[in-house]
Amino acid sequence: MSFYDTIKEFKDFDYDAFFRRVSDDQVKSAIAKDRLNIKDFLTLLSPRAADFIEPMAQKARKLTKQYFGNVIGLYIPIYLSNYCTNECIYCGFNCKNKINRRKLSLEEIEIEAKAIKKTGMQHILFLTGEAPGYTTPEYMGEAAKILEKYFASVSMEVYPMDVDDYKFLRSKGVDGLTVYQETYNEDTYKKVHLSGRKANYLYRLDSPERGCMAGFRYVNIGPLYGLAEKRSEAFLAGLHADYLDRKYPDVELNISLPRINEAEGGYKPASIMTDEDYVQFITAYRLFMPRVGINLSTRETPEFRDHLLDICVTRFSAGSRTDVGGYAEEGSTAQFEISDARTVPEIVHMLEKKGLQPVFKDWEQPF
Amino acid sequence: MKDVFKIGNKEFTNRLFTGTGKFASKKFIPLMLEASGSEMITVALRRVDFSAGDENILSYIPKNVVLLPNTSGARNSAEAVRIANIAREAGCGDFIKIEVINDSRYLMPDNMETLKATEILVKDGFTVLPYVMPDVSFIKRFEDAGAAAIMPLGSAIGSNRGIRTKEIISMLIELSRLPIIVDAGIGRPSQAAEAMEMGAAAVLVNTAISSAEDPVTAGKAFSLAVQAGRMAYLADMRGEITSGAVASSPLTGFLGERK
Amino acid sequence: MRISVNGTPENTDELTVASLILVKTGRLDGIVVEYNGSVLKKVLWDSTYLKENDELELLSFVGGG
Repeated sequence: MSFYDTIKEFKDFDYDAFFRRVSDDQVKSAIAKDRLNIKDFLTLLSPRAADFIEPMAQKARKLTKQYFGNVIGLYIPIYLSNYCTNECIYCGFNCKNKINRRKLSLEEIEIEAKAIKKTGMQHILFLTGEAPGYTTPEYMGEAAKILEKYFASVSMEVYPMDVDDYKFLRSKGVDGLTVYQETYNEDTYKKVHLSGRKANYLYRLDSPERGCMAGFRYVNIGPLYGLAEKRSEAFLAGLHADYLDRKYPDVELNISLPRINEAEGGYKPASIMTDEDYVQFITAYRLFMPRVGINLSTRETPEFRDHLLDICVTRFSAGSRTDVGGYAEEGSTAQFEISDARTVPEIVHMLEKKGLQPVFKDWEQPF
Repeated sequence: MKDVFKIGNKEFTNRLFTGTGKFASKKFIPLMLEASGSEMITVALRRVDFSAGDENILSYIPKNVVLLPNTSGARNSAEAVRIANIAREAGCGDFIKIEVINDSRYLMPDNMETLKATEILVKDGFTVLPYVMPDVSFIKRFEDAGAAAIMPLGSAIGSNRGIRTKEIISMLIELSRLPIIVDAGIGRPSQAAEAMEMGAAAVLVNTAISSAEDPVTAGKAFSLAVQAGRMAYLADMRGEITSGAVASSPLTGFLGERK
Repeated sequence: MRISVNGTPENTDELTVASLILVKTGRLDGIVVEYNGSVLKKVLWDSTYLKENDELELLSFVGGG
């Protein structure tokens, strides 16, 4: 069984017809319920529910306090390489883009790690483009070994792999895996991933599950909002998280809601996710899955991010650079433009003012 | 749409499962089955007692009712497997309720041995319904082993104490993709209704029916309670409905302000 | 000859499993037989002749929850 079975089930689902029938009472009772079924979840993603965004946010805040308390996990990304063989028409690393390509040597990774370590951050997320010839699992394993010396927790956001490669990296100290589906809509997926390994929809769709099988402690998923119709994307991503959460109770599931930002290719989003949508979707996730982690990256503006912290975000990146080698020196072309350029101390100060406790390190590998 | 559910390859519309134990007279069994509409009933297997001149209990059970032999008496997985094979050989069909009990004081099931027996019997083609102590991590193992449904106990067998394991059972209902059939401890129709409202697929009631002064009416009462609970569940009855939008929007007001 | 039935040793003159069951229980339906450790199908009861030291378990369905 794969999550693809669910995708097929909803392939011809008439979302508009469902949304047209949603009543105010249905929205209210979905908000009031202790345990939401998938119909309630979709109800909360409906345009109608947008009128109830404040009660949704109130409930989301309550649940977040109940299950997560007043702590926010902080993480920081490190870009190891921007070599990429994929042709994703929305991405700055698209292989057709003439950009300065670079891959950090192991010595350079160590220099970057030292520079990042000085900020006090303890959770690191390493990223690469999809170029298995350049950034092999062995290279990542070496990188992980170095990062593990400096950081309590090492996660990765890299190209999809087989279970064995995931297990190998798990054994090198990587404890978290991020794989964004980009879009759950199979037709759109084919239109925006023109060539490269990534053109294989199903292989990518199943990679978070392979990560669960490989024993990662954290798995983080999400669509890239802007590629396909947003409400169905939000819905399927929620079902995906729910599917994994039920099947792999030992894995801590996280959801991210990246939305398309001005990248190098100048891609214009096909479906605009507004700030209102953003708030509606994260609160719907919280109500549907009270224990799911919700990540917020520096793609978003400081003001917006700070407001979301009051509602239901649990993980927050800080002090981020999205260019290769950017912490120790001026780096290369960024994957996407960051909107929140505050330093780690600035973020910490802001969190403390809100009465939130920044957590740099919430666990460490026992051996 | 008809509200049916499936266990193995059999479909059921009545969600009250019954048992044949402890009836004052076996003659009540067919009458109780008729009054309640129960479509599945448990039986046990024992050495023939030559002094008692016992009759074949199967002759009291109409052919359209599915037999669910249990492995009561088994103290480990090997004994449960043996009993299951004998029951199938006797022409009882492929359904088996695995019951492995080591604890003669409270009659609590042994999940570990029950799991082992489940693994073996599923491979042998049985439709396995394990009777278990509600435990979230075990339930996943039973699913992986191929169980057809899970029968967690509500409270100790025959205790009539109702669903004392409610919190855990509602987790199982939420987390498991298998039908959850609450077994043991249901002593009153209201308790059966409670299990059904929680989203249980069915309940199994034996002692409370068979030991009633009027077991036929008791069977009907349980059946109606199960139906009522099931309908309440399907009606998706909600808790208190909170007020709608509030005048001030402390958490999301920023969205409007910025326009 | 000496055989064991449901764990109790006894002497019997019955020739087949079927006749033994009939004598012991007065019926043939609803009975399951374990013959020397494995289940003996009903169709074989008539043609299975008892011999010295046979062990039989005669089981039947009873009420149970």
